[in-house]
Amino acid sequence: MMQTWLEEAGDQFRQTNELVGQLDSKGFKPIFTAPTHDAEVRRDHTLAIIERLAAWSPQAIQFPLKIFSTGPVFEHGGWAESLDVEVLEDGPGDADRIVFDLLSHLIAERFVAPAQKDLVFVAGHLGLLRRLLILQHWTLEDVLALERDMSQGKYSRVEQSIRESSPELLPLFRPSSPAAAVRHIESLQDVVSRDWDVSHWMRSLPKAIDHVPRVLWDLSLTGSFTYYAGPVFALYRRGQGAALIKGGRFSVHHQGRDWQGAGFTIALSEWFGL
Amino acid sequence: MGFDDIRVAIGKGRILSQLKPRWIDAEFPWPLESDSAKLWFAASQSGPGAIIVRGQDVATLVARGVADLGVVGTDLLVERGLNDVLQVADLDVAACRVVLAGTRSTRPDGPFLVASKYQNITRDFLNRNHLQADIVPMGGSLELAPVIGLAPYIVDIVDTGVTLRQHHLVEIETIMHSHACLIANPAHWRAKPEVVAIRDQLIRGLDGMNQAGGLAR
Repeated sequence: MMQTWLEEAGDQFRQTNELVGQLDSKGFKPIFTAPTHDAEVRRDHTLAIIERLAAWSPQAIQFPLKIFSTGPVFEHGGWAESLDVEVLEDGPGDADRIVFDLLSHLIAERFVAPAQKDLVFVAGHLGLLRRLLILQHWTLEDVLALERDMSQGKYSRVEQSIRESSPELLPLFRPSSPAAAVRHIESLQDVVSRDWDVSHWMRSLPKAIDHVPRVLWDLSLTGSFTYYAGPVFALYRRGQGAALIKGGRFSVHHQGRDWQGAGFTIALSEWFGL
Repeated sequence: MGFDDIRVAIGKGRILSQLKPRWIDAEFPWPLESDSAKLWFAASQSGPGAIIVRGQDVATLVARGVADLGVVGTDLLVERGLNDVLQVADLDVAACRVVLAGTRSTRPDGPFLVASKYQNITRDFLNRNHLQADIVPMGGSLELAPVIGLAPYIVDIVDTGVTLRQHHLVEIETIMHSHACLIANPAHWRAKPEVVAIRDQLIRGLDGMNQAGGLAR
């Protein structure tokens, strides 16, 4: 029994090393962050990475900065091993494309057919969400309250608020195909003009995420952290009760400096199917 | 669309008994066998399976993905305090209140002892109201606490109030209203269309619910 346990741990160690090797081959560099700091536990790698980077002057950092960090994070009352990948940039740049290219590569390496058929990639967009609601005359305070409810999983309350104020937006708050979501938004002519930039991004999602047969759109997906600012996404596998990957575009103000980019966290137990 | 790999965790007691008519209204076969001590019932093509557990454990099963959906009181969700499940519908069953009760109808004056199984809800109530109290944790039969001298006050759920009256206790104030809530595992909610379909079917007929429907997946 113990031998099996040790062998399983060895397998996970080797698989994690292979993952790190893939990141290394794509030019990502490791940043070491502490699991606890000032009596606070690490709940997320992104902020821990930015805290380390803040020791460097802006002139010392070459963007785009492709980095990763590994180790446990404390979430939902327990520790979970994770690997966090970030692409930081100093202005609008290629971070989204770099992240999606890497995601496609990692998914293709990890899930060969037929395992790929169970994968589901879900995307949301906080920028689009805010834009749609503001165009519907929501106050910023109400928009933020709605986002808070969504990040706390209060879907029925979100649905009630949307139904009361903007019922035509309601179908966008449950999983649907990106093409259907784009058609629905374009049908709301009084809500949004046709030249909106997110449309192209939504339409290109299925191609951007190669090897995932089902790509869905869901505006109720907002991510758990307040620093998400634009696209957010999660990778699920039918039958597994937690996301394999969660990520998105972020914007953080820390110690007087602005940090932005895109990234994702791999939940290693889920990724390896343990 | 079949439901044969979908499971719903349901809290024992009032929620289980009051859920049955809604389940049948939704045209799902009620999976429980009468007079059976079984706690696990298989799903079928026409309806989800059921796992019968203590209310406190419903959200844990859903969060861990063992169950796709769960039916649990909002009191237990608030007490648990984690954001790892989606609250996808309010069901109009098993309404009750969490109350502060004691042998007298007035709020305690000065430090006091209060027995409760809702330690987080009680602590939050005490803090919000600047009350000083030590909480005596109990798992159930809270109305006994004042009778046997364990604590003069309790924080407990009340439905009709009969149990309180039988133990010569009176309500002092309502801390929160509670009702049964349908929760979903976030991963299953997005990866399994059947989970959303079950939710829509269960709330069909509730006021104002399920009018919008969804887009193509």
